[in-house]
Amino acid sequence: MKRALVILLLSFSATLGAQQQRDFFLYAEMNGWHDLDAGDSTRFWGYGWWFPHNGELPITLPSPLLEMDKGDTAFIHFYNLSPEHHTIHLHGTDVDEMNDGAPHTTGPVLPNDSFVYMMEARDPGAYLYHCHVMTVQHVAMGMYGMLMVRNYPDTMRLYDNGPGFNKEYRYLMSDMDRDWNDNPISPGPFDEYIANYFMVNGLSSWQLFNDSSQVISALPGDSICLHVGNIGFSTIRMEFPFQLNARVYTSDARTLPAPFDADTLRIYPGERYGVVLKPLVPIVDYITVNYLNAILDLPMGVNYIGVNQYVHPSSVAEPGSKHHLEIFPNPAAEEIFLDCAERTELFISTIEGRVLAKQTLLPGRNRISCAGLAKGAYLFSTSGGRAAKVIVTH
Amino acid sequence: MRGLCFFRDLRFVKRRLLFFALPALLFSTNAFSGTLQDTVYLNRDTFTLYQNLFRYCAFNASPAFSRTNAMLYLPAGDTLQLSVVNNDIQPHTLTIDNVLSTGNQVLPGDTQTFTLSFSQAGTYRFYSALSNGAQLGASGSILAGYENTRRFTWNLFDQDTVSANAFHNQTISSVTPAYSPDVFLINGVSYPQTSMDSTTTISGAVNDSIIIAVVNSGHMSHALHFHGYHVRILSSDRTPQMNGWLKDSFPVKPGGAMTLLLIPDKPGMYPVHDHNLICVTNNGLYAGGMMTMIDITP
Repeated sequence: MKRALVILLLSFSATLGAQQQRDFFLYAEMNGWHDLDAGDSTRFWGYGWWFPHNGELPITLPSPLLEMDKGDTAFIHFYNLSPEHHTIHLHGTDVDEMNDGAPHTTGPVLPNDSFVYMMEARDPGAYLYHCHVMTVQHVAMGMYGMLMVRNYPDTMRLYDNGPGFNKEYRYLMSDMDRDWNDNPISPGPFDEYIANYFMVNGLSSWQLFNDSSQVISALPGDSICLHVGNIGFSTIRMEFPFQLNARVYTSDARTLPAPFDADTLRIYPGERYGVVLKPLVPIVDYITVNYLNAILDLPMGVNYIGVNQYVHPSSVAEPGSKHHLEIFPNPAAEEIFLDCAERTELFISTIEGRVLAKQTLLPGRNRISCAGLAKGAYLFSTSGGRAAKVIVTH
Repeated sequence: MRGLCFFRDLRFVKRRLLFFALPALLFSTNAFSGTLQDTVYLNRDTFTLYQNLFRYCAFNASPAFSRTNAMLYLPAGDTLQLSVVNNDIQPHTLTIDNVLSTGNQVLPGDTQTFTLSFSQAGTYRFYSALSNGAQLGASGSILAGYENTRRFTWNLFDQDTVSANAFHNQTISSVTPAYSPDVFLINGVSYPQTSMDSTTTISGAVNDSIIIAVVNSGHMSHALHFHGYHVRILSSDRTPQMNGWLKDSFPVKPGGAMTLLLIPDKPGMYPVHDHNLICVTNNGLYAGGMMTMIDITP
């Protein structure tokens, strides 16, 4: 069945992507509002899709994914609809000077002006694109996105004769200094940027769990490809649960001389990595994304990428969400309290996935005694699709 | 060693001519010299930047103080007799990780000569491990080997005036959480001066083999990003897992020494800069700091 799916996907992409010209239409604006995890929002600048004769979609944070096949010639039609200068730097694609988007060699794109960037898609993997005008501010304000070159025609491999995969996820880490985004007119000295809001694909905290496309679906036997990159000011340290058997194969869209197993992976600003996960046992857990201060190398923020709808106990679900679930204390010695928004079934199982008990949770506060549970780690999962690892210490 | 420096400068006048002549000259030098002698001078001084007074130490190639530390180039397998003249009023050392760490003191006003040999080609960082010398900038580089290539050095440094004062007064020995660097230097200069400096701007022609020795003399990691090209990491003492990787962005850890190979496949002018973007500023203004250029002719 899985093989049939792979073949189906291959034939699909073969009909679509045959060493062709690919056109992307991007515009820049400086009028975005980004929803933050606390329920408020802040200003951002960015790129969005525009359509010849048909207007444009709102700018997004991060900017739209540019996806192309190895062998393609890509034309990125860039319109600057904003009141300030911008460019597109195709980070890592090794384009020539004309298409590099560095304003001090090729000049900026002026307001209401346009430029067509051309690139040959050569080495498969993850790249970035971002504005290179007043880079420190324009990147901080959100003018960045990811660019992917698929390994055409073998698009379910990282590279020719490389590891195959049947699922693929992309995570672009970034951060912002709220003061700069709240007040972009006078952001202060550029060397005093302080990262105080941390994102994965523009999402933070519970936003990452509520968007099911961001949660990794990992079944035993899967090969799951992660393309991860860092366009923030922090150093990223990813921590993979050992059951995921994370192995790193590529960096900066080049094959590594030797792949290596990683329980932690550091991603410095501008770097990208290609990782393949191969879970062999059922797993409900999360990948930790730490944001380290670039000067002192200390953690300043954290996000969790869910694996199979895991909810980190310290994160709160969206206020008012019907999936809202809080479990505390954790670790627990005598009693465990569960606050939930609606009636749901609770399954208590071992970390390996063997169900030990089932109980109905009612809206409001529920109480479970630890007396029947031996010391150790348990998986609490609900029929609403939430799960958490709970430690019993008595 | 002086002879090599002379040719490196002349190259910018008659670059094309020397592109062909340089390997032959290096080969002939190599044939009869097994031991090279050189001298570095430990100087302490101040400089004013952005109306701030910065305390600074350096291993200079000449007796006069400058912000640029000596960049030494040594043929593979040769022995270097390096004399250290301590012009400071504090004791210093000549320390090289895994090469020289004991019996390496140089007292104030004294001169010591060290015989150094490097079994492996690559980049080595020498620094003073006494009197906060390295923390104030006394940190130079030696590139051993690769004599038939075009060789460059980037010596990265970051500092703030408060920390520099505290290092000078020896009230701290490493940066504190209050560290807020506003000076970012490559070979003692910051952008745009770097783009006019023949040691920091990489120049060459398509298909040249260009070796860049990178040392991080600063207090924080710097994430270098190359426009236009991927480079091969030939060696890296602080991130040895990256040996052999082909990268466009990578960290240079504090105290680290890396050797990069660039073989340009196309001509053009491309920036290279720290992608931790606070470091491409001068006193908080963009563009500046840790950025320079690659200038490749067809």
